[in-house]
Amino acid sequence: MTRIGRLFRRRQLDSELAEELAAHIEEMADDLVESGMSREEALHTARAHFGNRTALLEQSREVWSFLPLETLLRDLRIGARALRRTPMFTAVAIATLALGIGANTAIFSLIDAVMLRPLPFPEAHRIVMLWERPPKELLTASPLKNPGQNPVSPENFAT
Amino acid sequence: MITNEEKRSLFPGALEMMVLQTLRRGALHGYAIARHIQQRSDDLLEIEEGTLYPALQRLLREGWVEAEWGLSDRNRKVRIYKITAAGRKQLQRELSSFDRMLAGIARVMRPQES
Repeated sequence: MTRIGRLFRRRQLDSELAEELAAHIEEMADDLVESGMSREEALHTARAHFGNRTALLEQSREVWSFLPLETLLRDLRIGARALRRTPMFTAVAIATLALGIGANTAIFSLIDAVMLRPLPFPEAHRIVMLWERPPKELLTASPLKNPGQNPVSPENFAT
Repeated sequence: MITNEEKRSLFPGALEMMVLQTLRRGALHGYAIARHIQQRSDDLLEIEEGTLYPALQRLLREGWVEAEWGLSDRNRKVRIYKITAAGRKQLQRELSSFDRMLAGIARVMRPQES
């Protein structure tokens, strides 16, 4: 059986081991009775010989413990408890993290859209942007001197 | 747990080695293993349950023994341990390193002949 499998079946394995230890005590007590002890005294002696059964269960379980994972879980629990004890510090820390992460995400989204992603057209490098700007005379003089004149014409551009 | 300063602990792996050796002759339950080791050592070694069961768990973990629920001589439901092929190989390895260790200690302890 794998250690991970043991992790999930711990309760059952513990009760199996407890049953095993109980049988051990009974067997020992039977031997003591055969050697002339009273049943009560024999059980008492067997139990005393056995010592601390909880500690024994603990040690037997430790053999299988999935140490890296269990240590990690314990560290997480301790961390969570420490944070709960100091709510003000926790709030400031969380706010700092939230602002930092939020600002970075916003900046990256912008850079990604403007600089990193290519335009969704073939040969994007050949795309130009044109716009019209009326010459000064057109803005000051009225009516138009040359109606129908296009101030921006393709000849003015070379790409 | 009762601690007794008169008692001294075995070197690491010694109990596992003796358990494997004990199981080589046939499958046994925990109490029978402890009793067998104690009797074979003429009561020089007393196996504490507090060390026996963790040792058995280690042997199970390494795949050197297998355990199955069965009945003891007194018809009690017990877990019976059986040595595996890997366990036999491990026992051979441990026996040879144990012999070397004993020989080494003996040479150090022997009075210098000069």
